[in-house]
Amino acid sequence: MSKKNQRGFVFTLESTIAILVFSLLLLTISFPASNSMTELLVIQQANDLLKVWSVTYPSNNEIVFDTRELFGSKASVSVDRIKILNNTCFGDAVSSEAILLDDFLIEREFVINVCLD
Amino acid sequence: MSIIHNNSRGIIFSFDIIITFIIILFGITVFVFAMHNNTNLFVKNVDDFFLEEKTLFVADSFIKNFDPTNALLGACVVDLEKRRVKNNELTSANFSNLKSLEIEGFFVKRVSYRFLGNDREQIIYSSARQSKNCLSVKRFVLIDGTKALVLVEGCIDE
Repeated sequence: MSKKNQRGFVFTLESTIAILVFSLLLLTISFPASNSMTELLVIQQANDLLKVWSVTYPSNNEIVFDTRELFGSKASVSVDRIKILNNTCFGDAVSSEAILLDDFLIEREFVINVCLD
Repeated sequence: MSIIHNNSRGIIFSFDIIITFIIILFGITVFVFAMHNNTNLFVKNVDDFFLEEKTLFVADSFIKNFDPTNALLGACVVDLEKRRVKNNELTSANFSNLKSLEIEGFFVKRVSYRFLGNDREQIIYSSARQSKNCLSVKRFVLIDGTKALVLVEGCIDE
């Protein structure tokens, strides 16, 4: 005479299938990713600064002022690899660079980093 | 003599099957609810993207091009000697030629500017149409040789 283990817990076939179906249904749920053009806008704005600076040949103070007016505290600027405006980004950032020549063909390298967060 | 068995417990007599049925129904409900939310989010994303795209493109065209028929699509200075358009350099003489613009439910509600260091905002174009779904874009330009920020506000019909 075999003893049956009355204390055991066993899933029946129907329960197993139900749990599997339920798990599959949960796996199919996905949230649509939101498409945003924020990055494009930031690139355009940074290029606006470089374009205007190519015409006006600003001083370092003017560069800092213009950048703050447009980006607030979300941007940092380097001129000839010297940081004149420093702000730390904790997330993604967009960088724009340009080498501008003035009337005397003196080169100045501009780098603008803008935070996307 | 036929023996008729009456099942007094009904059709569904297994406790497991009841649990199974409830789990499957609950799963389908969650699935349908999630799909409904996803669809609504997707539609909203498409509308938001459409508004962003049109506003960005109109603002970019305004400060990068020259359009003699509608300055909203280009208000830049034209260098006749070099035969080219000067990007990001606008002239206030073109501001009197701003006309309405509508593309598939999108319309430009307002265009304004303010000179740097000055809080006073000058509105150069305004539409009477109302909408709560709007987006404003800020661009950096020169207006008559002076640094300024241009604001272009685009909306879509609700």
